[in-house]
Amino acid sequence: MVKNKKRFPLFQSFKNSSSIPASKNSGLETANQSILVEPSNETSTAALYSGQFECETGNYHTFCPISCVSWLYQKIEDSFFLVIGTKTCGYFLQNALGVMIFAEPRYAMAELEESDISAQLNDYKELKRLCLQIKQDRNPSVIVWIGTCTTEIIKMDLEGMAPTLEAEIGIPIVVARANGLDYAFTQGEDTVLAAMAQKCPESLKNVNLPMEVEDQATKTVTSNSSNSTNTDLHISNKQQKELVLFGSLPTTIANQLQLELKRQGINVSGWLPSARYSDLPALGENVYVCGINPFLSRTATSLMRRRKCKLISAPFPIGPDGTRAWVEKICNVFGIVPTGLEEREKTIWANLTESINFIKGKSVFFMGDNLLEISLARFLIRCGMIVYEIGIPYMDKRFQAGELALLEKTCIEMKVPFPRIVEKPDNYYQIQRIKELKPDLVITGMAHANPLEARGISTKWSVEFTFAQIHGFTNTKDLLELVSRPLRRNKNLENHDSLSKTFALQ
Amino acid sequence: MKLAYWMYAGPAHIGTLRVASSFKNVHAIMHAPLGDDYFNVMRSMLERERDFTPVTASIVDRHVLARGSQEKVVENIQRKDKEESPDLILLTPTCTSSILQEDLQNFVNRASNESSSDVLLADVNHYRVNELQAADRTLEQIVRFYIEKAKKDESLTTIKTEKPSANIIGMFTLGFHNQHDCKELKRLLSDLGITVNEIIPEGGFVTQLKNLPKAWFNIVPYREVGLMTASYLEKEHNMPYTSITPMGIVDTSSFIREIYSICHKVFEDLTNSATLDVEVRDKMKDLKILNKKDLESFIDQQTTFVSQAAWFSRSIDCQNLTGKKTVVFGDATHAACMTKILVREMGINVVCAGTYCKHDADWFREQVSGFCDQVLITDDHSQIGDIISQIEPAAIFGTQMERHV
Repeated sequence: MVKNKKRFPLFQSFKNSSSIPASKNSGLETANQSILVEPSNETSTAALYSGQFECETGNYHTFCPISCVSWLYQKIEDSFFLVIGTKTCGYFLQNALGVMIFAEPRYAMAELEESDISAQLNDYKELKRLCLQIKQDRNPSVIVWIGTCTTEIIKMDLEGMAPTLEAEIGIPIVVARANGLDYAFTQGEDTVLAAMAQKCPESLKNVNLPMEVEDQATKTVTSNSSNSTNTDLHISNKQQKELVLFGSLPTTIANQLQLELKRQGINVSGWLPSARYSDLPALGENVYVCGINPFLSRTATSLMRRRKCKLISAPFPIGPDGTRAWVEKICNVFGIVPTGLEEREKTIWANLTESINFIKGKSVFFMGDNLLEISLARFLIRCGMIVYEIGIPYMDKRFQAGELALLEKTCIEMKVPFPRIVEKPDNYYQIQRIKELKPDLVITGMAHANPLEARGISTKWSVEFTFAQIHGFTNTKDLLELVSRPLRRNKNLENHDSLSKTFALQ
Repeated sequence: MKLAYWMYAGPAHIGTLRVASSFKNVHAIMHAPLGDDYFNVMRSMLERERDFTPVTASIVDRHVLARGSQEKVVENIQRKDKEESPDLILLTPTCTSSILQEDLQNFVNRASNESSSDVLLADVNHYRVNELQAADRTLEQIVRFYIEKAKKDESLTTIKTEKPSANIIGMFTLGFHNQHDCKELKRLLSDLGITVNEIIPEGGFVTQLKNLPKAWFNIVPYREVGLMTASYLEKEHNMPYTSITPMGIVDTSSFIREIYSICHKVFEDLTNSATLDVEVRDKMKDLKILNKKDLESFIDQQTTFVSQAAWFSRSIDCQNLTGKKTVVFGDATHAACMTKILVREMGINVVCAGTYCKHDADWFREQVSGFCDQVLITDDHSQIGDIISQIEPAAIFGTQMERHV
């Protein structure tokens, strides 16, 4: 139960089955609150998590949020991503993407030069020139402008220019500010989807008469109140409930999840993002939305506040336990009793006994960079591992409420101590802690993985979790193999060399 | 604004960080937003380095934007000073943070008052220079700082080593074949009787930079990085240098001959100034590098018999290489050398030779004209792509980007 209702009226904990629509919220929190990068409030967190939670505000390494371009351009097949930044941004993307993208470049850098920075050139004209060139070369269905740190600092008014330019060149333009000043790594996808949510069509079930469309615009927040003078405008529960899922997944995995829901009698009306821009899902008051990844808090807020959708808060469909909880929660909201999930989950655990036994009892430390850490930690604890520390760049405790609750529940069931959650960790101090704790496995980024291996510590490079297939029931085996691979590899080498051999001087 | 798909050279801060992280016991602090520190990943994964990359990002976020970075930067410098105890802490902004126009020099001054390590601000304009130029400049800046420091301390040694010696300037992390080239160079120098004094920055200590003037001369194997430092040492300490790249048989021979004339001159100067002991001097005459006849015989032996390259080019199946068309593109050093090797030593036709090092265009043109039909100086990958499609060469000698034409 959520103890402190005043602070969290939007989300309810995993145990309650209904979700609260944004319009009922009398708190009228400003839009900024859900995306504040603020240190945790100890009292309110206590309501959600019994373990230690702190914000270290340290120097940590993660990728720039513009990295989301590398998977989003592949997902949205008729898109073009224009990153407006400097050489630094371009060089990073180039290294991250490798040269493979040049088979079909649907991404480019609008490189800001000295004349742009010193406001000697008209940025609208410059962007128009580039977008016309893109239209000529590629003719995409949508151009996504990715703002960067530089555009933030020089206060380039991308949102102001986009509508005018869109009208001029006849291609929709989505503006997303995926910059490292505010966001980390996977949150880049969050900003793009939040922006794209504005372009989704209005759900037809909401639009009955032209008059009502106007009234929609002036409707107040308390439209569900029985005192409302607007008649027949609000969507009652008798209307068709729709389900839209949000988060970028390869189409095969998305289909798998859809199939799981279909088995329970729930149809997914659409995905944000869709494989084609023209297939963006319709949104509105009758639409329930549910996310599939933990880093999508801003998209969730956008969908709720600006498109009036209702958010289903649940743990994320990573691992069979998470997937089951996710499906169950959605079923609850749609008033359906789920069938067969418990058996599915049990069967999967049973089939993977051998792989699980290999990692059971081993300890793991997450240095943290991709915001998937809580879900992954929860899964690994369910597999029998012990998690010492979970580093994470940013934690939206409300959006991850379901996941946190499941984490706690899992720890209690598996009889292991609650892991310590450290937001904005300091990598240097973490390395000292790792040296002391000597975990069996450290999940970390590629800046630290090799040096740790050289010092006899097995590591799993974390980026792989963002592009491997880890969602759903059927990918549990792959997820387990990802985690156990470094341990298996080092075990294989053990036959030739001592496992604890160090390749470094200190 | 320009539409850019691919950049050949990286941004300036990468050059600075490559130099800083190549030195031992130097720690760099990047004043940058989250994600700009991908250099750490590059060094760990591409260079496959065993140690933690000595670069820490002092993160610029909204709080820092609002209240200024002074506290955070100074605190981070002091922290690294305590934690890592480096000899030098180098502070560098990136393109983004340089727009903030914060007085980083001021922070550096404040921090150096309380730290036991030296603290420097990398003096580079991020919108005007690229990775290579920035690396060159940063190396020169660090060398200059320590030599001036040694001058003040009076710990600067200007007395030449007894035997001929050389500094190798420009080997550093993530350099193209640097590790292997360095091994070869050391072997060659050893054959010639020259000792290696200092190699910078790779594996060097900034505390040893004051020993640079001890060497008889400097070697700059890659012109992109090292020339500024060599020019400084020449101007301030009368140190001659060679910037002939010993790539290919012809150029290796020229390299050796130039070193000969340098060493010969230094030897004469030392003799005339009576700084050399007579016995030592006499023994030195036996060193290959001071003996013209021995040297020429060495070059001949190496070219004809030890290196397989010349024989390879002469063997009969290589007759088929004659007249084959090729295109060469890369940095100035490698593109120029490759062109000359293909034409002079293998009889292959280079239709177009090019480089993305626009700042070195004149030198490049001078080197390759006469060896190729067309010279292309550009950093626009589509131009070189177009030329390759037009020419349809049998082989392309280029960068990663040219693989995809």
